[in-house]
Amino acid sequence: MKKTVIGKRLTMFSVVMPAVILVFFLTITGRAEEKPGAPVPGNHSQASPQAVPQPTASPQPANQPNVSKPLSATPQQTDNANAADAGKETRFGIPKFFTTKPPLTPGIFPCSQCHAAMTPNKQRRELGFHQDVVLNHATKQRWCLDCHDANDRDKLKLANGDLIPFTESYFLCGQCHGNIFRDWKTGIHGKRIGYWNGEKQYYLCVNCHNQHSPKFQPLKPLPMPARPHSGDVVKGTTSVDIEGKKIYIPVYK
Amino acid sequence: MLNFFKDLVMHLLKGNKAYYVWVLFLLGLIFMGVESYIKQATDGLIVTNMSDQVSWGFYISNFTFMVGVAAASVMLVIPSYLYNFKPIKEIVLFAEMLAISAVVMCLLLVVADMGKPLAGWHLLVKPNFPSSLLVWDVIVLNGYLILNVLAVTYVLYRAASGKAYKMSVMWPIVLISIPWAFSIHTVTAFLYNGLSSRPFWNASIVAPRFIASALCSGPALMLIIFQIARKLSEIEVSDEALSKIAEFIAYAMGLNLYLYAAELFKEFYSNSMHVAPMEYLFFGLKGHNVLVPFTWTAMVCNLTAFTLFIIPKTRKNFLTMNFACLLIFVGVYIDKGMGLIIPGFVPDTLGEIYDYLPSAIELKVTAGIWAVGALLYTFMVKTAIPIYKGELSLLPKGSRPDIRSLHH
Amino acid sequence: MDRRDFLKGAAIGMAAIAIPPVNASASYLETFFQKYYREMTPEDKKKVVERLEKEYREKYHKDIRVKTTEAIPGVLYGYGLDLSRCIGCRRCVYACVTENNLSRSNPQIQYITVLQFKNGEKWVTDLEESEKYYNPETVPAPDHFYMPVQCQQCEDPPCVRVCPTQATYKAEDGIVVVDYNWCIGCRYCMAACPYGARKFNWGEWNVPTDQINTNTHYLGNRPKIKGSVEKCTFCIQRVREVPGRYTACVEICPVGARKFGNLLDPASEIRLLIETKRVFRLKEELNTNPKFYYFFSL
Repeated sequence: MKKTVIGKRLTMFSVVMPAVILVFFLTITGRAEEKPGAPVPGNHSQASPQAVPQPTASPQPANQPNVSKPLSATPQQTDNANAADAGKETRFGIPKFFTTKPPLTPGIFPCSQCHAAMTPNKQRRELGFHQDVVLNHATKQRWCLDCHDANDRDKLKLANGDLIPFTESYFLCGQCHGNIFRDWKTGIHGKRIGYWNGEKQYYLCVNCHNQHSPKFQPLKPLPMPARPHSGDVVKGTTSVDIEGKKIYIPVYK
Repeated sequence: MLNFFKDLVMHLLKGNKAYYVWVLFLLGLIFMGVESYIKQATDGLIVTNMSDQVSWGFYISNFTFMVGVAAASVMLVIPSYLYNFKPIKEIVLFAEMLAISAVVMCLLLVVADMGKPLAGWHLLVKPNFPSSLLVWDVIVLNGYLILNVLAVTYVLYRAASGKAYKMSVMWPIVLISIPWAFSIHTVTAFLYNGLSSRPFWNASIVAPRFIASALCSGPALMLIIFQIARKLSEIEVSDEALSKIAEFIAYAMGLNLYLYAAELFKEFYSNSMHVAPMEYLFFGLKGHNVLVPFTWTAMVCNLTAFTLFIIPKTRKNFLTMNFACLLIFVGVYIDKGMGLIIPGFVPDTLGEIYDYLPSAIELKVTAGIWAVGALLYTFMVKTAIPIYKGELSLLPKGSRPDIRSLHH
Repeated sequence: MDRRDFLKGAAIGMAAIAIPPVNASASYLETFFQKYYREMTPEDKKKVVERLEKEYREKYHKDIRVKTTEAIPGVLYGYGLDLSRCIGCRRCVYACVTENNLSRSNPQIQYITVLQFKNGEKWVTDLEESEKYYNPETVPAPDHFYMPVQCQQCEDPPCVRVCPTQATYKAEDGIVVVDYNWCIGCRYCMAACPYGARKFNWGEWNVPTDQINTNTHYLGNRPKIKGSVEKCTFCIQRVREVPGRYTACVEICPVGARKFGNLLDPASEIRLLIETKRVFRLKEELNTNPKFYYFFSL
């Protein structure tokens, strides 16, 4: 009785497994036939961009866990995986080009000029000197010396005690904002200017966010478009300066 | 031959007071149209009320309507040539001449709408065929024009030579022109129909409805023209022929209304997002309702005309018949003109509502183009009538043809 | 207006149609018979560019450079826009206007339309509830979010399908461009575009001379022609270079919501965001297959 049940299961297994494997191989070969790295557009079967075949390089949605194992079993896919691994470094490593600088208050850096002679005070208090600093960034859990090193004020301090210069403050931010740090490294979060296929300038976290009060402040919008054939008559143009760029905007009557 | 053209010019210049007033009136309109067009050509289409939101307006609306009128001559060709239906056969010529005028108007309207008409030759050098329906439209419209010009010239030439036309020559032309007439309207419908970006047009009922409504407006115009021609000349058009046409119109209008009802049902009952243009037409959208009065006028006109045409008594009464013709003309003009084109753009693809009504310049240019069509038609009739009466002839002077042999 | 005035006006008007406003009629004939851009030989292009640059110098007293840079092989441009970040400040709109020499008035032309939506209201598909003319003191307005729309650079562009003269076409690098000289101004493409991306020169091109960007491309931001259609070209004058600058809208965005890169490069930020974020494309149901991806980083 028991034996037959097992036998049945085995039979079932022997029937189902090859089928699964077959289907599996068909899927793989089907995928391999598509040009690796072929883009999404123009390919109707792949219209959904999430389905781009880049199996190992990026954190995959968990819906294909059984796929990843056999993939590496076939030599073809091993190559693929290697290639992706090689790319991993550049894709998720710290960006190389930095030309932006942290917005240090002019005239007071290095901080040690004053702080060297002072005794560190960890007390939460009204600051005598840095009145311009409004802390609005997880205020309850944090005070100055959680990020600024108590002994070397020219450095920032990570949770593990490591000291980093102000130019690498993203390591500090990245301790809590891991997802955003990851996106920033790949260019998905944050602002980059420069050349799309050449040297880029990466804005540091603190170039856009005030580190002590990081939420974006509302902005005045530039003028709305003119309604056609209406009273919105463009009287002329004026220019505004945005990050050193001259931008022309309309002036309405 | 030279004498013939001399005579022809004399005939065109001669006429009673009404004729002069009419021609001068048309010339005045044309003059005004040309003046406005010059302004448009100098300053750009900014002088119209079109915008990036509603990028086609009054010109293309009129174009669409006129394509219908042009196509409708098929209405008269089918029964007359195929079934040798006598009373109609004599007046097919008038319908074909109407088609010529209408197509010429269509072409002028398109040119008026173009931003760079002088670059028009690019169309001949690099036509995007078969992909662009506009190229198809250019081909079928010009082809239709040539066909009708051929038919009319041949018939008139034979008549001027004192002979009836040969069926062996007319048959091929007729056989081609029937599907061709359907094609000009179908292609024009597809021009809008094929745009998935405009849900209002992207409905498969558009082409059939185009045909149905064209089969109303064209013949309605013909009915009126025949009565005028009959009054002004000695051309015989029997009451029987007129009432036969009226009957056709009744059926066509029935079909048109049925198809329209089907469309309205689908839009309003399913009440999806795509109902917005219909709502704009019938009730206004978010307070924008410039087209609402026009839409309801068209509805009332079409329904009343249908009733008048379907009841034999009112169909045969000339007063009510002519009234119904006028109603149909107005109804279809709104329905197939502004009522079709503008809601395609309202709301626009980004949800903006721009209330479009034509500017004075658009109205003037369009009026000028209508006048060109009317003048062309007047001159064609003014050529045809004396030929049929034997007053204008290619035969040597003195020898009069047997006029009776021209009539069937 | 009396009759003589009218006739005079008519004569001048006729002349305006028949004869070019610019004096040299030889140049006019050259313009009139100018070939289709895609069929020009390199020599043809050189000649046309020289003529254009000369015309511009006479007209605007400025040295405007017209480039004819070809597509870079192995590049397919793609764009990403982070809807979680956009605050609707319209910096992109005017950076684009400035970079691309867009007409300032009559008509005012802007390639980017920023739409404002109320939180929780219906928005995607037909965009019926959009507000284009929002103008609060500051943005983002409470309870509102924003979606900028520009040319989506479709892989199957309806505008290209309908153009009767092939004046608009998809270049090798995926940018949908217009040969302004070849366009006849029928505006069929504007009816066909599901994204309101195509703009028409209803009037004469007008940009104050001192504001003209002199780095131009034949298919991009050179002075436009009255009666022809134009559109976003991903700043073709910038991006078709090695190295090529990011588009003006990418560089101006104060919140870094705009991403740009080569879809064929697996390490580009556009590819990475497509692979790691939930993205959507506008009006997917129309199968236009845009290369413009909206995404949510939050």
